[in-house]
Amino acid sequence: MINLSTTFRLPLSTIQAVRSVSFSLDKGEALGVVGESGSGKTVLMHSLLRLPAQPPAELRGQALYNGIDLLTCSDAQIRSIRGNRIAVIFQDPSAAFNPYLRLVDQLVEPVMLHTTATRREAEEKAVQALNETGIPDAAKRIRAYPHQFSGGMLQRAMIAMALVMEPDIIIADEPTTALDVTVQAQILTIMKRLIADKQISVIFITHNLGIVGEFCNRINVMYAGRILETAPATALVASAAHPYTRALIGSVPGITDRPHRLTTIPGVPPDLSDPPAGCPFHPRCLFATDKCMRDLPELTEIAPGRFTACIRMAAGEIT
Amino acid sequence: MSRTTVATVHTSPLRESVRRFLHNRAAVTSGVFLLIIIIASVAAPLIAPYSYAEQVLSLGASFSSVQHPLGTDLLGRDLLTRLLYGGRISFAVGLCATFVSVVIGVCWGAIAGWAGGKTDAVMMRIVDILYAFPFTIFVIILMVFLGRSLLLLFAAIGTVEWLTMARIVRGQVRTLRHSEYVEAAVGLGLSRFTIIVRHILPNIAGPIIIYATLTVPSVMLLEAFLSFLGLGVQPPASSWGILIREGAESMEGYPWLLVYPGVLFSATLFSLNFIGDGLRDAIDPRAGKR
Amino acid sequence: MMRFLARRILIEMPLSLLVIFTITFFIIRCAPGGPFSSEKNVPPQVLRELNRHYGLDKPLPVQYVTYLVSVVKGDLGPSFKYPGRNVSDLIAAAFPVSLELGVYALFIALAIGIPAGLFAASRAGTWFDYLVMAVSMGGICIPAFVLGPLLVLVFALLLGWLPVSGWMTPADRILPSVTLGVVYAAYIARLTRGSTLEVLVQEYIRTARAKGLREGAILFRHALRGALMPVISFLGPAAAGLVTGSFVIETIFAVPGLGRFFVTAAFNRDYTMIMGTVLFYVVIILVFNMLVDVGMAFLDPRLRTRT
Repeated sequence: MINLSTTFRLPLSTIQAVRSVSFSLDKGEALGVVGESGSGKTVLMHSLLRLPAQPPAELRGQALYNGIDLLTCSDAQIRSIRGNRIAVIFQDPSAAFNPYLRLVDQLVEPVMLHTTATRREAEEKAVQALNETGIPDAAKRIRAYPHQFSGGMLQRAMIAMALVMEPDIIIADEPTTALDVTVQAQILTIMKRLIADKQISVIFITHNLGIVGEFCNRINVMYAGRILETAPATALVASAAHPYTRALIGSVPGITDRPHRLTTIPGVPPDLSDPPAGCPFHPRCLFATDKCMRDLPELTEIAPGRFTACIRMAAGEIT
Repeated sequence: MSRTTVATVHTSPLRESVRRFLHNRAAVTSGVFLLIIIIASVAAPLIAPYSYAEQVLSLGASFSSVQHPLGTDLLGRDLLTRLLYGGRISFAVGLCATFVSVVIGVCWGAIAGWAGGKTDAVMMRIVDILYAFPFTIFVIILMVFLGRSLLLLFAAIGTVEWLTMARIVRGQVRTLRHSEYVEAAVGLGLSRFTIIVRHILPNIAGPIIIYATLTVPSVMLLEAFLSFLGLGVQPPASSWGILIREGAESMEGYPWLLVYPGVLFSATLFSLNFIGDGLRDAIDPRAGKR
Repeated sequence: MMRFLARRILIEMPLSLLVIFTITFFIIRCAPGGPFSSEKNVPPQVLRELNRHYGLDKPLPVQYVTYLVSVVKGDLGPSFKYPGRNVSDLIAAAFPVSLELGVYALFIALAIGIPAGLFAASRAGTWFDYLVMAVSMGGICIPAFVLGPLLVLVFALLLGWLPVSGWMTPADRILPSVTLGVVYAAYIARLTRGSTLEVLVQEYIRTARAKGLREGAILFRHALRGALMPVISFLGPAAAGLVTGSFVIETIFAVPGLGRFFVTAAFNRDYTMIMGTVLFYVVIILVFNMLVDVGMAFLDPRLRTRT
């Protein structure tokens, strides 16, 4: 159960990256978080583990995991959770691995840090994890350096590193964005398999609607630091309950079965150092009214399990 | 109902840079200080209380007093005056030599970066070889053997510092060479010279200015170093380097002769460096220290 | 790797040496006057005889080749100023002194500079950071020939704790080494701080944090290697300078090292001595540069597969 805001206080400006976002995650659930660059999805997820440096970041709110508030617990506690009970798969594997260290050194780190295993035991676990992601000859390859791997292999290694401690939650931050399309599919398959096997909850961040529809149970749509809509994946793709989501879906070729003209959304995302009052999307929304400009909409339930932050949608004024 | 799209106010990069620079207190303070010193030095003949050659032997070396705010040296010459005149020489050397090295470096780097291929490889190879060259030694040899003229001093110091500038310029030119607007200019048939001067140089002006500003203190240091060894400017003209040497020699009895010039010189270098850093942060905030 | 080293040693280094040899030779010789012209009142016949004895009356190109050949054979020639003594011997006597001074200074520079830079970076923006930056700026801007005399003024003349100059007792070593070391420490501190800051924003640092590592472990196990690379690169030419003794330091503190010999030789127009020192110095720089390159390849696995 999470409700938080993240603000960055910089010398020349203050950026409200995430504004009072709330959501929850069930065990074994795959939650997708969709949004354009700058929507705050990455900052939100990193804030869960208190990753952004504070200062300049300010985290407010609550993030409850197993009864512990991740935002206010002690440093030692959050460190024991990171990599252990909640793990992160980062976007660009070639940048996310330390180029100076062998893969094995980096993969055993979580094990040696969070358990009392010996180096040899940790290495065995690491090799095993690597094997499960489908890397051939894992025992030998693990001794190589990151630059000797291709992007796809590295991402598998990243997955292995996240899974090695068998966490409860995995945050996957655009795991396929830096990869070729063919490799993307492979990675997704691996992830699905592993997660199903181990009953892990996943928060899947992406800007790619096509992928998220396939992979996730539920989807949050973020924009300008707020969640605009939450719905089960199939329902969202079939009939979106927010003008922004509609436009997004419309801009992806082939996501629905009907051929359609690709929509574009006029304008640019708002400047988060000075967000407009009211609904963040209103400057670009075809359906905006005066009320939209004034009041900041909250998520309202319009159907079991479906929430939208569009006042007009909620009131049934638009379909 | 207005539907303005909220966006950041667009200012030119130049204005942004100036704004950032002015925010940097250290840089601005340094700038003011430096300006004062430079003006004072340039105006030395007008404002110096005494002639720099005037000796009042009876006084000998004396500490600060009302008539001589910074004291006098062994020959009774007023230290303040000598420092002011010394500043002229030191700054002159600093600026001229920097200018020389900038010109050489920019030309070399621009040609290498533009030509690419073999010419580039050869030119940069030369730079690489020269990098291993102990320039300090070279300059010392030059000064010893070819005389002590001021002109030679400029040239000698200038040749020491041009290497890094050449590297920087070449790197930038190479990158810009393949940028689209340059290719468009080539396509339009503009002469290479025009392209380089009108399109590329303004864009690399930033790093050039920054590096030039940071070269000036190096150059002044080199000049002072040479003067300290007796190889630079010759008496009766004085540069700060000479004054420091004299101070070091007579330091046992008359420490102020060392302290005043030393402090002034160091403060000037400080200021130049702060300004250079400030410029760098202003023009390219991602580079240098954060 | 081996091929790279071989090419370095067999081709590039000799080439550089040759170039420098030639340039130096001609500059020195082109100047008016010879090594004996400052001798007072030497009768012209004796002058001619001296020149003939040392082969200075032969045409320049001939002198060049002769000298080159003898240098390649390892003989740097006799010193003109100290009759009866070889340049090689003189260098061999003076070099260890400079080496000792350089080693002390290097040690001081590294021991102060690297930790200062690391901690300044890890506490960027705090008072500690500003303090380190300010002090290191001072180290860079206050030239050795100002700092040296100032330190002598304070510690030797005013306080009387340390000797003014010389190189005989252990106490003699302190001021010169500290003066030399402090300047380099300032450069190293700034460099380390800058490169550490650059490394700390890399993504793999974030990965390490996300795995639950504490900040200290992140700094030392992940950031350090990357941060040290530019420092090592800087150390190449810098170490060479340290090891051969800074001219100024040796002059101020009357240390009988190579730097001072060179300056004296230059003033005395002692051709062979100058040439010998220059060549020696260049060899050291080249060797150190090569060591640095090897060291960097050793540290950064990505550099190892390049030739």
